[in-house]
Amino acid sequence: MFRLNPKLSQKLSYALLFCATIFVIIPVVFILFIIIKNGASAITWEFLTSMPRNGMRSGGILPAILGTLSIVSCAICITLPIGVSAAIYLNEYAKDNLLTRIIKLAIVNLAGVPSVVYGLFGLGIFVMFFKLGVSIIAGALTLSIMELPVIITTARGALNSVPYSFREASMSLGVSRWQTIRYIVLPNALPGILTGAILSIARISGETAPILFTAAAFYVPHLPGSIFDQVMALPYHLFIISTQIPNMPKNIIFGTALVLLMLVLSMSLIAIIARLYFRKRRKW
Amino acid sequence: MSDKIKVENLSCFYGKHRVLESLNINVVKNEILTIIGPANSGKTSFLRTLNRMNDFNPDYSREGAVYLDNDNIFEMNTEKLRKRVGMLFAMPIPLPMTIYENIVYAPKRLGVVAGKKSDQDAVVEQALKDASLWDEVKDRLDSSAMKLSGGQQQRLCIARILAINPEVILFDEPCSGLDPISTAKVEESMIELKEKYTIVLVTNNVKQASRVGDRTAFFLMGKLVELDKTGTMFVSPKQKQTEDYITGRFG
Amino acid sequence: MRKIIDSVMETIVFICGILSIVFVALIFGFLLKEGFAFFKEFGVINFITGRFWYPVSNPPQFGILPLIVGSLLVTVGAAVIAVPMGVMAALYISEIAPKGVRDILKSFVELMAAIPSVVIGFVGMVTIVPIIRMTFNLPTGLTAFTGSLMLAFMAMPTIVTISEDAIRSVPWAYKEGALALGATRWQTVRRIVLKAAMPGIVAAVMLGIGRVIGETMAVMMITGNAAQIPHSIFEPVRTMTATIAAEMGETVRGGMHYRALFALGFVLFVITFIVNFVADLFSGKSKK
Repeated sequence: MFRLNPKLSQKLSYALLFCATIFVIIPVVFILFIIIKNGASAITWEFLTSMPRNGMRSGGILPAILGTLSIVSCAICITLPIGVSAAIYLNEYAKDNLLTRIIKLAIVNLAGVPSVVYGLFGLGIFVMFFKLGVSIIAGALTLSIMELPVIITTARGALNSVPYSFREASMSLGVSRWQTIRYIVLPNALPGILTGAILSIARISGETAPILFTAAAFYVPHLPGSIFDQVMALPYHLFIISTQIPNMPKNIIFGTALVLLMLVLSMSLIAIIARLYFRKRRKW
Repeated sequence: MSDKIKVENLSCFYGKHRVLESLNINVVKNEILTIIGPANSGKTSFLRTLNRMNDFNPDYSREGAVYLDNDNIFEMNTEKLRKRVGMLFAMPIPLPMTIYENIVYAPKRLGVVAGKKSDQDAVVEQALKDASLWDEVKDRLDSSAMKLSGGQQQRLCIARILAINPEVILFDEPCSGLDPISTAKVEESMIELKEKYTIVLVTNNVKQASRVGDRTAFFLMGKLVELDKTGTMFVSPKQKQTEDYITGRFG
Repeated sequence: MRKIIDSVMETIVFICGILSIVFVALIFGFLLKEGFAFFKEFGVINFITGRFWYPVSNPPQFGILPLIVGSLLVTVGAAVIAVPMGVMAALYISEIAPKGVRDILKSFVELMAAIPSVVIGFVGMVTIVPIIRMTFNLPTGLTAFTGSLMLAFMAMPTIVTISEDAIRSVPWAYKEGALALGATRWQTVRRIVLKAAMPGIVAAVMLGIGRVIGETMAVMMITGNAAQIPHSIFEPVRTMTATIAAEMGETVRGGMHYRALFALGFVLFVITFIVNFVADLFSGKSKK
């Protein structure tokens, strides 16, 4: 059989791998380019701060922005303490037994449940069973369960990166286990936990399927007043105006997409930069 | 002279593997008991049993009893035990905070010191002086403890233990990562400390044992081979194995 | 006092720890509760093997075979594109790219993962869909193939990130041995590294596929949503996820159609459960 010389084969393979890498990252650049190019002109102060008018074909997207912010902030307030506590349990207390293995398996599976199934679940339990109705709180609860495995996993990573010797040193002084966690482990894991939380906020800001039947409304003529209100949400709004409304002005759709994208990407960028920063500054 | 610690028939295991076998040993009040022996002789396991730091290892189990004064330590609350029996590790482990915070950390958490700043200042100053570190760091108490040299870090760790006013201090090869000058300083503070505290020192360095130990115990394969006054043991060991070890024939 | 706080906190974190199990059980339970009522009335076999999904005709037909085929087609198509590309990119990023470049590339991959699926769906609609329609001269660009292409982009970040971890955790000693014997770097990567990292890569692929099966919004926007068994990948299809998302809003709460969608969600849940379980088995293997 014909054989390439190893040097040449290496060069060709490297080129191929490089092309594959480009293929993976080109969509990001492409999506950013298209949306910024077409959407930038729509972004005005008025667009960001006024109500939609004329069947959403003109005016602004303020209710959608506020709706998303309220759902997401509720969701993170619910999921962060639970997720971090669960991570503390798994990392600091849990013994290697059957229960722990089941918990870990449950987390893996929660992470894999499709977002639309979370939507169904949220509809079944929060909207119908607990009679919360289609509301901010029902959507936030649904999203918080969806995000729980991500928070647990990143928080565990952060806790794990605090050297075991710190715990040992602290406890050798007679300091209790919880005090050690509270005063030594958590403060040092905090940057990692917060980075994970910001990434989670970014992720759930863009989620549509879980809030489809639990929180989002096609159109609400007023701003959200309480957590039991149905609200408009940016990703759902983008879905509606890009698929359901005929003769929608293109620049409004692109403008909405740009606002959503900026919200999500700026938070991801903050998280990525924060992580690099804390990694450099780490004291041990 | 009274016994501070009395060990009765202590055996320790990791899983099924026995690392200490039916150990009987005593530690006299205000002495430095040094423990020597080759690697895997069980000396560190023994030390970590004395303040139950081994309890964190799920494979660890033990039999027998250890009495601190007259209390069986295996029946005590571990936090109370560790307040009375402090431990210094082989590598210095300053906590990632300032020098000042390192010292007041445990007293604050244990409720030994009041919240008043002046009380805390006094604790810090006293502990650092007792660990002969005060002069070197008094001007930078608010800088990170991570920035100190290895020897200074180890003395900071000693000061941290002194701040909670223990009765016994366990040293686990405290000089293994230090240069000779830092080692000498740590040894000096140990000798000063035995005025107030009872000390158990595990060391790989036979010469260190001869320099600081009042009595020396030689461990081999999980058994206590010989226990005697340091001077006696180093001049005329009773057991052949001890002689071989301290003259450097093995280990 | 200290003791009380300690045990209270331990109890709290323990409860939070087992909440994950509770949630999985609740999801399973709620889907099954609604789905079971449906299965009893319509029959599991009819449901899974029925060729027609006409939920609002009279009498309604609830055969999900076309939806399963739709999901399968889109998923396989996406995997065929995403798996080789993703693994190659992971190899490049972990083994070949210089350190500075690697961090930049990884950041881009992470950004790609962060883009909301509804944005990807929208961009796909206005760019790829017309291109596909014209290139292949089709009546519509909303096809299974278009969906596969977009989903491949969405699965690649998962595959790249997790494969990269697996490749990087191959001990340096393995590579050193091969390099010392005079193998080129590429030969080492191909024969030694790839082999050693394989369980982790398989886990990455499974997780990527899991993501594709569960993906909803982008799929709903670009696959055309025709509930029929397609003859080729250039025809519109409808996936299980898109069906739930598109129809749930119009059902009568508690009605037959509503329950059928829960039953569909249950099937989806079971499928992703299995996929993730397999992924977990492999990732457990790769850690050893």
